[in-house]
Amino acid sequence: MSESVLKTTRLSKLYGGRAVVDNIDMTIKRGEVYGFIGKNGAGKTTLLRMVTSLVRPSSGAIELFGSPDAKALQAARTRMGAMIETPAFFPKLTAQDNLEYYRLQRGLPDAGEIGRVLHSVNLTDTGQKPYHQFSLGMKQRLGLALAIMGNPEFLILDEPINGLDPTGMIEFRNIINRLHREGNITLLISSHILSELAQVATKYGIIHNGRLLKEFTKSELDQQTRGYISVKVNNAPMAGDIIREQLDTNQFEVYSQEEIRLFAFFDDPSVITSLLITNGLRVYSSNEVKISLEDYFISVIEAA
Amino acid sequence: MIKLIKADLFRLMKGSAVHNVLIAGIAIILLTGITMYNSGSGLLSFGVRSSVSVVSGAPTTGADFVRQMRDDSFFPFFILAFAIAILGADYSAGTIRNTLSYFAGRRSVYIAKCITGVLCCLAYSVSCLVVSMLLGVILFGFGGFSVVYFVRLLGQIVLSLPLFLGMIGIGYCLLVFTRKSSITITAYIVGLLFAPSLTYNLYQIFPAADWLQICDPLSAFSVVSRFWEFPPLTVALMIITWLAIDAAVISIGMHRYETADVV
Repeated sequence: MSESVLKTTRLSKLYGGRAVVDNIDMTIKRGEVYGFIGKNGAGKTTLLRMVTSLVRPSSGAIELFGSPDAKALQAARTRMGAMIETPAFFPKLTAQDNLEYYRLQRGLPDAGEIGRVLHSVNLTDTGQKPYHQFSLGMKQRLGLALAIMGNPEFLILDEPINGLDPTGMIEFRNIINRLHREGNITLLISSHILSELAQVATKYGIIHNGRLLKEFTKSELDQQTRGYISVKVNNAPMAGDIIREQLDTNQFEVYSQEEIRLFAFFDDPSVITSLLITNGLRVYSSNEVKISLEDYFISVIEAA
Repeated sequence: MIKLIKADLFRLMKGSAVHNVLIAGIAIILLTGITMYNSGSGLLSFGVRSSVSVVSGAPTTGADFVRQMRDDSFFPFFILAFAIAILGADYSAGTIRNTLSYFAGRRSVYIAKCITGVLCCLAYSVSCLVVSMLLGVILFGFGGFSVVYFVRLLGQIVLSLPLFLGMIGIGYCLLVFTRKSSITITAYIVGLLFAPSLTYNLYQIFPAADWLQICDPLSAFSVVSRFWEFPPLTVALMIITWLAIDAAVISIGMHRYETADVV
């Protein structure tokens, strides 16, 4: 079994008696890219703030790299990088100087580390431009550069693509994929832009009203979001009769006079089309319709 | 902790806040010195001297000029600028998140920032001393300098340390509670202006404790600048009071810094 990087046990945070994070048990194993999904105000950022020690839990426990006690947890936090919400830097300092401040603060001996992280996030050409003149995309990338400074084993990114334009999103996704692939970094990424998250995450957790409703792997998600095969024919009710009689299955729905939806045969849909053609029906098209992560997320929330 | 201090000093060197305070302090010394030199009458309309210094008249020697310049009544206000530059910037820029998400030991961070603040005060004090010495020698000559004189200057710097720490501590304490530089500035200045009446009223309640009258920040700085003119016990009691203030404001501020959620 792979080592757990983060484990929370019955973690809660109450503000004014109201649970913003409610008894969350979450485990992230080494090498995973954990997509943390939730609506605004669901409790994502509060949980991440507790993990990064910015907010004190009301109850429950946090374990980082198997840390057995508070002192070990404190030490373990230096093996972690984080970007919580909007990146924050000293506005009048350059990217280089801002990172130099944190390099000195963290006692990283290699001055070349700054060049390495700036190169990693494609931010080497900002020169003497102060931080307050950066575009949002540049700010986000500088935030990521700080988060990966010192080669952390675990990276926490809270809404890293918020406000980025499509090009910025693609660039950010590529950087994250590269970090995971080449640096073997375990990532926890929270976002409500699920289409982007779906392209990087290997495991997901859905949080709603402070409660972790569901955790699932990418392959489990693929199973859950398989959707159906839509077959357009000249007579859908007759097609349904043929499938039921000859294949002995009820895993379909006659959706309209000309469309039948199959919830099986994903591996080889040609079995159906051949059968229908053999029985004299005309098949206009056959294609797989997937359920999006958004739809799945909404279905989980509604079920809760 | 040294790493934290080093980083903060690096940032302050790159920024303009501390530079501006140093420039302001030095400019005031230069302008005051030139005004004093030109007037020669002792009736000065501009300068950094307290009312007591003005009464003592225009300097006649370089050493006298330096002594008068040590009575810098702007300094308690300038210390606030250091506090805002060191800790206030962390709150206003939001960079406190970057620091505290890495260093869970917030106590170390807070103490490091207190030390950085005192170092800034020392840098200001020493810079102003050097400039006033140079200007004093140029304008009023070498007269008055002696071993006793330099020992007193050294004593003055050492005795100022509890005041530096206390004023930095008060600034930080206000910052960690308000998290806003603007509110901190207002509260600090109002406090500075009202402190003398507070200490005076305390003295009215406890008439035996006449040293209470010199415990407000502006009086305390003025007394320290010429501590040898006061009874040693009075100065000692004032310093002990300030050490108690240091302990109180730093522990309150640190407790708040350690326990407050960063949102």
